[in-house]
Amino acid sequence: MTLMSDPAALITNDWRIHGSVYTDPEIFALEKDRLFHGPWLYVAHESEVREPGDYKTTYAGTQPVIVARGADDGELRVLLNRCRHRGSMVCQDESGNANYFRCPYHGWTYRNSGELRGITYDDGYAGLEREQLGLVRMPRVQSFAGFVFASFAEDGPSLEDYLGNAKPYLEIVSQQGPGGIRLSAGSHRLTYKGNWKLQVENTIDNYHFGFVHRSFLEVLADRIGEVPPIVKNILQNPEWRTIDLGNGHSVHEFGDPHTGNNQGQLGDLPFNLIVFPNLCFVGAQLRHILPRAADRTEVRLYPILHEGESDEDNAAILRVHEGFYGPAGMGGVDDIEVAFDRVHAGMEATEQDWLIMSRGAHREQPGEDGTLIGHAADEVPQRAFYRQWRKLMGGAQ
Amino acid sequence: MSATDTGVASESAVRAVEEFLYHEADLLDSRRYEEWLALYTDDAIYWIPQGDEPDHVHHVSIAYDDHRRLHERVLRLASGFAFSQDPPSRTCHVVGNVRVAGEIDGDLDVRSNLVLAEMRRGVQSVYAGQVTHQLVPTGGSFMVRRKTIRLINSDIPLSNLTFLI
Amino acid sequence: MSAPHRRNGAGANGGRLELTSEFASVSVELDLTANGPRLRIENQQNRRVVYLDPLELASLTWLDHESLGPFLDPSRTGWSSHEGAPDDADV
Repeated sequence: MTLMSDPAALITNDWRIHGSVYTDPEIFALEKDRLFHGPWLYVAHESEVREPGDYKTTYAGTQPVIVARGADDGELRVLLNRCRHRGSMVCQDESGNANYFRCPYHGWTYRNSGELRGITYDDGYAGLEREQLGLVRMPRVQSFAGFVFASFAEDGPSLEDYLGNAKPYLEIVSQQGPGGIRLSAGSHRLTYKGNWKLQVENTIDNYHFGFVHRSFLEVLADRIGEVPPIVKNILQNPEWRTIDLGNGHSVHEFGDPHTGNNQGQLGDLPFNLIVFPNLCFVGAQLRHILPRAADRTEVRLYPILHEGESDEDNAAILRVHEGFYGPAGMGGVDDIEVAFDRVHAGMEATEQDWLIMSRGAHREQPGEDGTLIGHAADEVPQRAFYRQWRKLMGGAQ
Repeated sequence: MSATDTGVASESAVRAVEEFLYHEADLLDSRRYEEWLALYTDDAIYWIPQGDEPDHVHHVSIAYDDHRRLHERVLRLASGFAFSQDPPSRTCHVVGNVRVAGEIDGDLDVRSNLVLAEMRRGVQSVYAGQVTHQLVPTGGSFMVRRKTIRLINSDIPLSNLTFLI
Repeated sequence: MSAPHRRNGAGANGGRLELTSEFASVSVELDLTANGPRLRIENQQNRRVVYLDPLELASLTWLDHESLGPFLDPSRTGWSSHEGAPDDADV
C-alpha cells in the first residue's frame, strides 16, 4: 500500500484502521502539517498566565512556544520559542515573569509581545530589517471559558465555531469551583514509547476499564466494602453514553453533564471530554497530549483546583488524583503498560496490519446538532476522532 | 552537625538505624510488601514529592500516601492484575550516607541517600534521591512514621513508578 | 523540554531583597549613605549599580514597559559597538 497517496484510505468505511496510522513516521510528518498547523491547538489556561509579564512554555503540536501576557496591554500572545538569529530556544523555564526576553546565545532582546528590541554589537549588520525579526507569533490566539488556544493558520473558523458542541462542556469544567478553576498545582509528566493517538483513544474507552483497571476496582471494593457499580453502569446504564460532538470532539457523560460522577471520587469531572486533536478532560484533570515522534509521546496531567475552596479541600482533590493518575498512580500506569507499551510491541507484527474500531458502529443514534450517540463502551469517541483525522489528512480543510 | 556529634544518638543507635533501613530495603527488593507495610505506623505518611520545592498542599506529588493508601497499593500489587507490575520490577535498593540528624517529638530524624536500580521488560533504570525517615523507637527496633523520597528525576517525564520505593 | 529547575524566585537577606529570573538577577536595598534615602539596585551578573532617589522612584510609577525599551536594547547599553566590550562578564 502506498500510504502517502491517500492517508484517508487507511481508515475503511467499515472502521478498520491501518496500523501505519500509529507507526509510520511519514504519517506523523503529515500530521504535523495537517493536524497541528491549521486547527486550534490548546496552549494554556488563563490561570497559568494571570499577570502582565507572566509566561508559560509549552508545545503547539511539536513546536515549542511561549504563551505570554503583554506587559502593557495584558493581551495573550503565543510566540515560537526560537531566536530569529541562530535558532536557540529563548525561554528555558516552564513559567516565569519577564516583560522582555534576552536570548542566552548572543543577547538578542525581545519584548514579551515578540518584537525585536535590540541586537548586541549591531554594527555587525547592514540592512537588517528588525521589524521583520520579532519572535514568530501564532497569528490567531483566542480564549474560551478560560482555555487558551492558538492556530498557525491566518484564517479559518473561529475558536467558537471550531469547538462547536464541545463548548457547553468546557463551560461546565470552568465552573467546577464556586469562583471558577485554576491550574496552579503543577502537572504530572508521563512519557511512553508509542503513538500519541493511543492516549487520545484511551481517554474515553470504557470498554477496557473492567479489564485493564481490574486491580483498581479491587482497591475500590476494599475501600467501600462492596463491588463498585462501574462496570455494571458501563454495560447497562442508559445515562452513561458516548457522544460524537462533531469536528473530532467527543464526550462521555455519566448522567447529567452538570452533576454526573462515575466513581464518587472528589473533584472528578461530571464527564470525560476530548477536544480534537490533543486536549482532554478526565478524572479531575486537564490532559495535554504532546506528540514527540511517531513512537514517542509525552502527556501532561494538570489537576483542576477549585477557586473559592479551601486549601484543604483542594489538597484532597490532589490526593484523589494521585491515587489513580501520575507515574505512581494505581490506574493510569496500567494504561501505559497495556494500552500503549503492549500495543506498540504487538504492532510490530505487521503481516496483518488492520485494527478494528467498529464497536457500536451499527447502533449510533443521531442526536441534536449533528451529534451521534452511543453506548458507554462503544467506540464512538474513537470514530469521532478519526472522522476528523481522515478529513484533515485527506487534504480537506 | 549530626546527632552523633552532639551526643543525641550513640554509635550503636546509628548502627541500629542503618540495620533497619537495610532491612526495609531488603523487604522491598524481595517484594515482601505485607511485611514492609507492617513497619509503618497507622498515622504514617509516605511521600514522593515532585519538583524542587515540594508542597503537598498546593502542588501535585508523585505520591502522598497515608496508611490507607499504602494498604491499597500493597493490595493492588498482590491482586495479580496490576499490569504495570506484571512482570514485577526487579529492584536493588542501595542505602547510604545514613545520618541521624536529630529528633522530632521523640522520633528519630534520619537522613540517607538512595540509589535504586530497577529492571523491567528488558529496560534497566536508575533512580536516586535523598530520603528522610521519621523513625519511632519500638520494641527494640523502629517503625516508620514518615518517609519522604526526593528523587532527583521527580519532575521529568516518567513512565512507571508503580513499584514501592 | 529539559527538567525544569527553579531559577525564578525572590529572597530576603536582612534588608536586602534579591529577585531572580532566567534572564537576570538583582539585589535591591535601602541605602542611607547619602544625605537622604536612596534605593540601591545592583545587577548580580555584572555588578553594575544604580542609586535612585525618591523622586526618581516616584516617576517610575508613570512607566509603561515599552518606554523601558532603550534600556533593554543591548546595542545601546552594555553591548554597543561604539563603546567596545564591557570590562566585566556580559549580561
